Amino acid sequence: MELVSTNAGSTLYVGNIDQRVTKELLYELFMQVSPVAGIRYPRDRVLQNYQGFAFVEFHNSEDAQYVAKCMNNVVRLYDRLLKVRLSGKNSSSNGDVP
Amino acid sequence: EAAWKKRERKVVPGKISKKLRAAMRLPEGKLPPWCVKFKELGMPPAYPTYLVAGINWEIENLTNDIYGTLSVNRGSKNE
Repeated sequence: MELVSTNAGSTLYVGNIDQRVTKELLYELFMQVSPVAGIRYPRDRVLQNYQGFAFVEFHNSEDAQYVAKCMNNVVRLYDRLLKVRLSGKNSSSNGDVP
Repeated sequence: EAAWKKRERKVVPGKISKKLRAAMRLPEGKLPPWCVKFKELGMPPAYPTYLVAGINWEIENLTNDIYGTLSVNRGSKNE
């Protein structure tokens, strides 16, 4: 299964997630700011524990960009500060718009 | 994933479950941390009718689990 969405402009990478955080919790959290189109929250295949990061997809890139600005270094879950940034491999360094 | 779909429907912007509140260590009756960012960035573009206590909604509306609502009424203040 691919982890990175084809719709890269509207997908955020969320990092520094505590193991106790569930997919439902991530969904509820990001819904507070924009409607969530989908979440990929990988687990280790063998150990079944979460890997500490997730990809959260929104309906368009405008929403995603807003959420990145709004939620990066803002929310602590179980005392770990969530890192939120635009996902996508060909995004240049944390994107100043040309 | 019927169970997931069902859960999705229970989630509404402006309302925080006990579980999420506990994970954030957010005391009841306190605004969640992104509300400060709403002030700074403007309201989320995805929710044009979002009313949030202390920003564009009377702070008295803040209760234990509700801090905002997607108003169905036009955003006029009816007092």
